[in-house]
Amino acid sequence: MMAYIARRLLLAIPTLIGITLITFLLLGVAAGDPAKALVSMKGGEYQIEQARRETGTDKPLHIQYLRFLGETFTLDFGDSWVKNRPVSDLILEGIGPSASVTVPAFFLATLIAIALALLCAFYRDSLVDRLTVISAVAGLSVSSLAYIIFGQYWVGYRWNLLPVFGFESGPQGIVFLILPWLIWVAISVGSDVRFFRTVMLEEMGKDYVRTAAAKGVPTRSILFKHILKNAMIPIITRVVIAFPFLFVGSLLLERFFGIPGVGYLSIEAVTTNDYPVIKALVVYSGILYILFTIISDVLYALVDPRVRLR
Amino acid sequence: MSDVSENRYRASFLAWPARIAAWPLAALASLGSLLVRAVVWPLAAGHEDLQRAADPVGYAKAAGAYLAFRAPAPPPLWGPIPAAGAPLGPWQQASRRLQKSHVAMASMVLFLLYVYIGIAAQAGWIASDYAATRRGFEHLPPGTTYAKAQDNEPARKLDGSEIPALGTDFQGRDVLSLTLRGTTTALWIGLFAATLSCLIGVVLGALAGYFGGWVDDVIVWLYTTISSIPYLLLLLAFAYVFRQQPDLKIWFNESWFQTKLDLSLGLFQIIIAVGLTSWVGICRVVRGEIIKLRELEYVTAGKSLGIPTRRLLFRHVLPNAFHLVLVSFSLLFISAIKFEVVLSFLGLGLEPEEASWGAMIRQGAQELIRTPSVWWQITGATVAMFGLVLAVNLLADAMRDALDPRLKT
Repeated sequence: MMAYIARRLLLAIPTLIGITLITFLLLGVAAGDPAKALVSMKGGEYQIEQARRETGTDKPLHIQYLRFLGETFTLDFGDSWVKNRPVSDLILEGIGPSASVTVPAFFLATLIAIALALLCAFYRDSLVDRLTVISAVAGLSVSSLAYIIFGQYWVGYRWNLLPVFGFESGPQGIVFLILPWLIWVAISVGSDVRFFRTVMLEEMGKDYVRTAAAKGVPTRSILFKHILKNAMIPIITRVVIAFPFLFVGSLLLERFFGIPGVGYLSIEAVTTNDYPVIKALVVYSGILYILFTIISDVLYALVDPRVRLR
Repeated sequence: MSDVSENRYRASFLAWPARIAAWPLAALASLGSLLVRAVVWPLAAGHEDLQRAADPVGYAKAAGAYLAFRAPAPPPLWGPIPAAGAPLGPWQQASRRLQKSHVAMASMVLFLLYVYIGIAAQAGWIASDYAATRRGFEHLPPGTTYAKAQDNEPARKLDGSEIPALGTDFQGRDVLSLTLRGTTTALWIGLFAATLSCLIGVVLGALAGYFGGWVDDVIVWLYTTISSIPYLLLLLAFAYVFRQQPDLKIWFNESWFQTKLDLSLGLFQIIIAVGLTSWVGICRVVRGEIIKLRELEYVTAGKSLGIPTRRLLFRHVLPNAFHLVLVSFSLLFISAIKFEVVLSFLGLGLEPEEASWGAMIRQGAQELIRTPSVWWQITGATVAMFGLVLAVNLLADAMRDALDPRLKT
């Protein structure tokens, strides 16, 4: 097992280099000279030579890239141009608020979706099943913006049930989070139900289910003991893969509800051309994604003995 | 875009009945199609089951007679004429299965209606006044019959064509026209972005799957890398890149997209950004399918016959994976439209006078909390987008079932 994990970590190095390469080519080369952006942002107080020296663009490209790789491996991207604080501090501060929105909402949505999918699979082709599938497709087709805007308008503003806007850390801040959670669930439950239902139905069509039914195992225990256990494999993969995106946060929800998370930070950075922050966000989230992919592969191998460790 | 030419505005004197009638007609047409396909048609044609239930003996006779004197199918529009009684090809079988699904046909009708609206609005037959700002028309609710009073003239009564069926926005632009014109924008974005990412994904996926080896390694590395970056963040990075390119605007203003299609630079940027970033899924799917296909005997036979690799890959192997491309294309189409709305909402590169659903939702979200609430603009855009996305979603599902009957769940 350790050898497998070590091999996976080694295999992640090319991907990591790829992420830095794409980020560098996109933001450092295709977007033009970052020094010019810095000068135009700082106004008259900066000279182009000074900005070049500061951003390192007075050196040839390969040196610039090596410098960027160095920044990646030390996870230190310098100071934000707009806020004049270390980028890593800004991101670390944002992870808490982001996760407090996304993690509970994600688990709530996944639980609801699995329950609905089990129901659909159990009463397959019945009215319940059809209604669930139809409303899932209809729910998928509504723009996520509409959920946020109308949810905020009706629940927060007109009915005055929950605060419209704001964030507070600590247990008293939960009031601010309920509405974002509910909206997240509404947005994501449709596609989740469809995915889990397909997984369940695929599992139900397998031979072992027929055998179990033939030897008289009660339907309920086939469903919960056998099918659910086997269907857990794709479900776990989906959940673990979604994790890094939870830390990045939901850009739209954070923007609408004024939650000072990573998503808010990234929108702010793009609209104010804050180059170091954009760069760091792309690289950090890429690293998180790689880590969680490895974790999901390892879990996969642990859960399912059929998966060979290659 | 703000300088809507006067003659274009005047030339559309026939447009207002179409404009007023478009939405009710749209609803009627899709409902009507459902009704006809599900109820009227089977009854009128004497649906087999109904006939059989009513008169089993007569049905058997009639069916026998029908089978004996069945008219031959019309010859195909192109290609060789099949021999009588020849088995149906896979595409024909799929199309038969698709036609049997009422949901698929109804969503097809709805989609075609959107396409019609898109074409008509692009050509200027309907909604040609979408950019016309009018004083005294600001924030009129749907169906208002009086314009607002101006400085020195009283409120004016509006005649038929001037009544805003879906209200007006803060500049006095007609929301119905904006919504219809937004259909054009959405369709262009979906079409171009999905085509771009399909092209990239299919070519890369086919090369990786067919050749394997280092080609496969490089392409897999590329898409693993791209999929490691959260999608919206990547899109935002692209938006940042485009903002730093002043030359792009100069080039764009003379390009075909601006002169012929009247798209804005912001929309073009969204198309490129979405197109360049969303090919990963289809690439993965095509690669997997090609890996399966290349092991089949007909490929070996083709190789031993000396068919050139390019021909073998693109003429013989890739078409067998095409059903996957078709479904992916429609899903990419929807996701591009959805991302346009999100990106326009975030205000990345879109000019405010652009007629797009995203811009309307952006505007409408701020006006929702006015008193009295201006709800019609955001509602119009949301409902219009819902219809299009729903139609394509249902169609994609039906196509997946029809094209690959094994997958049917």
